[in-house]
Amino acid sequence: MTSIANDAAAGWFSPQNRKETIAGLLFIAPALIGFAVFVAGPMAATVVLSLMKYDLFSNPSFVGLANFEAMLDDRRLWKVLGNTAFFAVFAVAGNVGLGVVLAVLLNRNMSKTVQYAYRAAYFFPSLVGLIFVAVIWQFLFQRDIGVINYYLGLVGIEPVRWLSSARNALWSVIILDIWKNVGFAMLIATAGLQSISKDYYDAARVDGSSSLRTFWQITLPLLSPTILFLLTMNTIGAFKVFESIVVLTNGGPGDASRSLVMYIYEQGFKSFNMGYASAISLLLLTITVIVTAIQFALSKRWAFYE
Amino acid sequence: MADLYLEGVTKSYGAATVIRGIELQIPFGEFVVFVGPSGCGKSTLLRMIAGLEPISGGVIRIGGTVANLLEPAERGVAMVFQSYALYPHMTAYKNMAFGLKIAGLDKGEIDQRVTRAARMLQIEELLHRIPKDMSGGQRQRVAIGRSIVREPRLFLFDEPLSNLDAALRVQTRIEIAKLHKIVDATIIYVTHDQVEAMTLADRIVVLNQGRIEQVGTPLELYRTPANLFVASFIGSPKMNFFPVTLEREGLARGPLGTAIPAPAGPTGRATLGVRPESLVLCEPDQAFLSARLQFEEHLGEHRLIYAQTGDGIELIAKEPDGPSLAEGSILHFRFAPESAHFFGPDGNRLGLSTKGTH
Ligand SMILES: Nc1ncnc2c1ncn2[C@@H]1O[C@H](COP(=O)(O)OP(=O)(O)OP(=O)(O)O)[C@@H](O)[C@H]1O
Ligand SMILES: [Mg+2]
Repeated sequence: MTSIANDAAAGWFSPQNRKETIAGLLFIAPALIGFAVFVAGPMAATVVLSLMKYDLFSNPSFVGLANFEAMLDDRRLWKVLGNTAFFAVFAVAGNVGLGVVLAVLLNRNMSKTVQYAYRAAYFFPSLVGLIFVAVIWQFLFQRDIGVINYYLGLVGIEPVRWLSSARNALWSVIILDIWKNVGFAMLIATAGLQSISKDYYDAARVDGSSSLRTFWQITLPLLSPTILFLLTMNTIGAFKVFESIVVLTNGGPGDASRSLVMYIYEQGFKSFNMGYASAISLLLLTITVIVTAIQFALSKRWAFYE
Repeated sequence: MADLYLEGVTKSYGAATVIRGIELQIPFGEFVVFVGPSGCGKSTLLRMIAGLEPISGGVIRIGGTVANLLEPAERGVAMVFQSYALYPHMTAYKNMAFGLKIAGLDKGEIDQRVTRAARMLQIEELLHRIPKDMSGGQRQRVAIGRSIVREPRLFLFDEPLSNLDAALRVQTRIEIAKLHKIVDATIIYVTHDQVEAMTLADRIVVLNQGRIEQVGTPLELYRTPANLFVASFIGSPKMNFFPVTLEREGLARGPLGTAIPAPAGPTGRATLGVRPESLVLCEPDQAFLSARLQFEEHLGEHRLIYAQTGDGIELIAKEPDGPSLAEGSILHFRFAPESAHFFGPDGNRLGLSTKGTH
């Protein structure tokens, strides 16, 4: 076999390399085709459509940046964008924060049976389909016959309008989201915790560090790469929130709990403004990229990589 | 008066007992080394003294107070871990200052102690680096620095040199010996390297399967090992062992029928131990035993001769180096009677301390 340097100098499709190159391309073809059909194609189509007026029935017509200009005056868009950001902030904070805390609490010395029982219990909701979960919570959240209000009633709290009040609806969605996803964050954080050497904790004990101080000054810094990963994944997920809201409140009351993706769906498939829906999709993509980039940039200041 | 007392200290993990009734007293300022084969419980015992491992039974007293339930930080101990366990996200300075800050020392005092330790260990230029950016030897120094600044009454080292290369190990060993002269504290040092044990220790504690086999100065252990285990564990190359028969008149008879003086006492089968450096090549008529040469290792100043007796017993002799011996030749050995060690069938040393020539 010739050396790699020679192969490179000769070019991929030179006579001596052609066979290997073709074999290589064949190997990656399935993944490449999948990517082209399901990712690159739709993305390109979205970009093109965002410059069109298209109602699914008549032929698309080119409108330039009109769809983007329309966004500026669209009060509903800003409302759902605000909802989505609100949801993202609290759902991400809740999932990651609570996930890490649960992971730490369940990573201490305790009976293995209890430990695994708790971990399984917290992780279980991640395994169940979101629609199932949302349907069940829809019942739990009911004002008059819901279980939650029943128990609140037992301790003397007036029934709460979980889903029908504009003030509470989004919070209810956040509660459901945390219940559903915190187990996954806990699992990832547990893996991160278990990769931290026990010796650091022994050293901290010899140094006289309290468990709280050890958590803040040893565990959290060493877990920071895991936390950054969780923040990023959860943020990307949160911006796409859709099914749970559809089942719980269908975006209501009014637009009080409508998310950006719901709005895109509504614009595209109910109002048949495919061009406008595509433009908003690009907005969502842009926001996600920017937020993720900011998280990574800020993480240079707090995340510690060994 | 001793400063550290271990009284009947035991440790069990479930049904498995790993430390079995340790009795030990260590005077203040002594350098004590725990040695023993892997898994004998050295680290466990050290961690029990540190307070990192709860003890299952017995009493640990440090400086006159029962320490069984005290947290490590309350025991006035500092520990250097085998992995160093430097906090990876903190600079050397912060690593060293962490415990002091918790202890509530003011900034000036912390700074003074860290700077002093850094100067002593020659790590001043490392103070603002994180462990990732240091070599193994430098991390080792910072880890020692972290233990020094706390000014403990008791230093605990768990195999601190095992991650260093050979040259650095020798150098650091010497520095730890110097450190002991400077600091006013007791040191307990765990190793399975008997050279470290012999060179550093005021007293060595030989552990085996959670029990103390013998406690003594390096020379005591070398000259009068209390049993077969210590005899074979201390000394390199290992002591040679031969089966002998003890006869009534305090005589032992070896393989060639040669009689040698043995401690008076019970008769019967016993084990004779002779260190490689005590075996001397000689003429056949003076020989205690004969063996066929297997191979030699020339080390310049001396050579190691590996040979096998007619009964299939392997032996090692350490001789002044010289021209190679003929391959497969029969060699004859004798030894000075006072350099012989006798062990009874139970493995314990027979007779009083037969002071060897070495
Ligand atoms: N958490 C534990 N649970 C059960 N057994 C343990 C535990 N920790 C240690 N042991 C056992 O205790 C014994 C002593 O272990 P220890 O680590 O003290 O050995 P050591 O002498 O330090 O060995 P090494 O030289 O290899 O470091 C071993 O047999 C080990 O398997
Ligand atoms: Mg050990």
